[in-house]
Amino acid sequence: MKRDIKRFGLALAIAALCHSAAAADLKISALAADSTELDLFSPAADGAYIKSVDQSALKFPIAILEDRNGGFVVRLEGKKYYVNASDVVANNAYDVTAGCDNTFATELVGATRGIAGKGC
Amino acid sequence: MKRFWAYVLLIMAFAHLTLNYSPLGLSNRADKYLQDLFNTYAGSMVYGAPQEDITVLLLTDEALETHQRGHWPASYDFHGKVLNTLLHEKPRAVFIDFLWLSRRPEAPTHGPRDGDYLIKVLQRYRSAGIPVYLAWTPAVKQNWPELEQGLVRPVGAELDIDPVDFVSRTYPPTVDAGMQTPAFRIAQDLRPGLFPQKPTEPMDVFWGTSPNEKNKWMKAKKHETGLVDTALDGFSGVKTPVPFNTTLYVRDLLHQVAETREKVREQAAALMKDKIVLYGANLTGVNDLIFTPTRDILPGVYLHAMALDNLLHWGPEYKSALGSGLLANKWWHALWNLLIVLPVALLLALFHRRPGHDTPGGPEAGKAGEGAAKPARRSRLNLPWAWRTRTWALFDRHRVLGKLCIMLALACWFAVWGAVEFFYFNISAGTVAGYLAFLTLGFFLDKIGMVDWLIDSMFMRIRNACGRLARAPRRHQPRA
Repeated sequence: MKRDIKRFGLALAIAALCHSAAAADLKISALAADSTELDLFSPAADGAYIKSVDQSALKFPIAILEDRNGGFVVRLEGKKYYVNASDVVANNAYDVTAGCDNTFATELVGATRGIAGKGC
Repeated sequence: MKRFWAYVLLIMAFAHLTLNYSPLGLSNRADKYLQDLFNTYAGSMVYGAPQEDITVLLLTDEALETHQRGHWPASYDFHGKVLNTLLHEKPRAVFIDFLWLSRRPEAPTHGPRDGDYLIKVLQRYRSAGIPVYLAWTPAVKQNWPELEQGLVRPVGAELDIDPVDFVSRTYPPTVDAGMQTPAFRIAQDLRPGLFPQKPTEPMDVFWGTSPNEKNKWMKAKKHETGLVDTALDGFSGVKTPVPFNTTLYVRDLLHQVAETREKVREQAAALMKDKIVLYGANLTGVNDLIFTPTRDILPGVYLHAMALDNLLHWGPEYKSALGSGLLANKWWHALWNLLIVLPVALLLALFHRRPGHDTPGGPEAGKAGEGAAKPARRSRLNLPWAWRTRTWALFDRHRVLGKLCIMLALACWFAVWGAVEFFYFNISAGTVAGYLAFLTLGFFLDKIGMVDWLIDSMFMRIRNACGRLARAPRRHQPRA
């Protein structure tokens, strides 16, 4: 049992190392063609806008800490920020195996949307 | 001859009633229903492919789930992100079909307030010269005084729903307080010479039904009702089809997926570069849905997209209840309808047989050849009377076939004019039901002898009145 736990721990450590190594390879090399400043958002779930930084104040490449759906988490001046993927040029690999629902939600429901989630 | 013109006059009066009035709204309802059937089954032939210039950007549950943890209304910063991503693709114009009614939160102790980023993005749009149209109400104006400084162009996005069948069929040029609707304003702004005169007539939106190749990725809920079922039972059930207008989900805009960055750029450009983008939502529990004339349920933004598509497709000749040109006037329209009916009324009067009179096989025919002699004399003077007698004889030989031929000829006559009204005079629904009512009720009234009774009693009243008038002076004459 003890041996199994050790093995599991080792596997977890290796997985974590691989993940961080992969994220460390990701870099932002420039701003998008028509951008002159980089918009920075909170990396928290609300994604609130924090500030915009002029292109001249940025030093490229910028390491990507996390590749999220539609954006990246980066560290600037010691703080973590979220940036939109469309605002920057990065070396991320594109995943084309997305399995999304492409239907409409046009069922007429006799309830209004709840405060969170899919409501009802 | 007097009787002939009295007959024509009565038929025309009857036609005026059936064509221009709708007792209990039935005629109007039938017209609209036939208009919808025509749109559904002839839409692909009549309308063709969608406009390449229009793209609907749709916010769905998935995007809200990923970027807002499912919260609704979404934060203004989120809308800012979507619009900023869209700005990279250089659209030609953007219409935002959201009512920004939620109050902006108070500014935190440090950092910007929700909505500041949205203003920043809209300023970028202004700098890029891309017009942004926003669904506007007094509440939006109160929440967003900053937007009035030239950041957005306000438009009224109220829906016009038919109170009987709830179909969103009509799209007005302006709404309350003269504010223009999105489709009309965008069309006029982006194509300044499109309307020689300011449009005033509400549009009857004609729904495109051709498949859109760019929407192949979307899934539809199949609808089983075919033409035969509809012909037998009418419309039954509703469906959510793959929309006619090119569609892109916010989910895919924010998380663009392709093999390479170049391909992503290429696909994004094909959908958004230099396009008119209409940004709307399709969210569970947010019933911004419309019921289309083709009996589909779609997100509300598609009504604006389809109205804009109609305007770019037909320009000032968009379809409406009164049409365009000379006929776009209630009185001209009524007169025009009567002119269409006039030849029919003349023919009906010509071939009308008063029971027991002038019938080749009727009771007067055998009286010393009187019935046969009259038409023979007339035929030398006037060709139609001889023709009438021959046609009567023909109808007597082939009763059913003759009546069917008449019905078919009349139906064809009205169908041809219905098509002329639609294509040439841009009238959305010809007064088809009015014509049908005229035909069926007209035949019925004629069958029970109502028209003859009316003419007889009319003549009798005139004769009596004339007699009274003639006698009246005698009463005042002094006795000899």
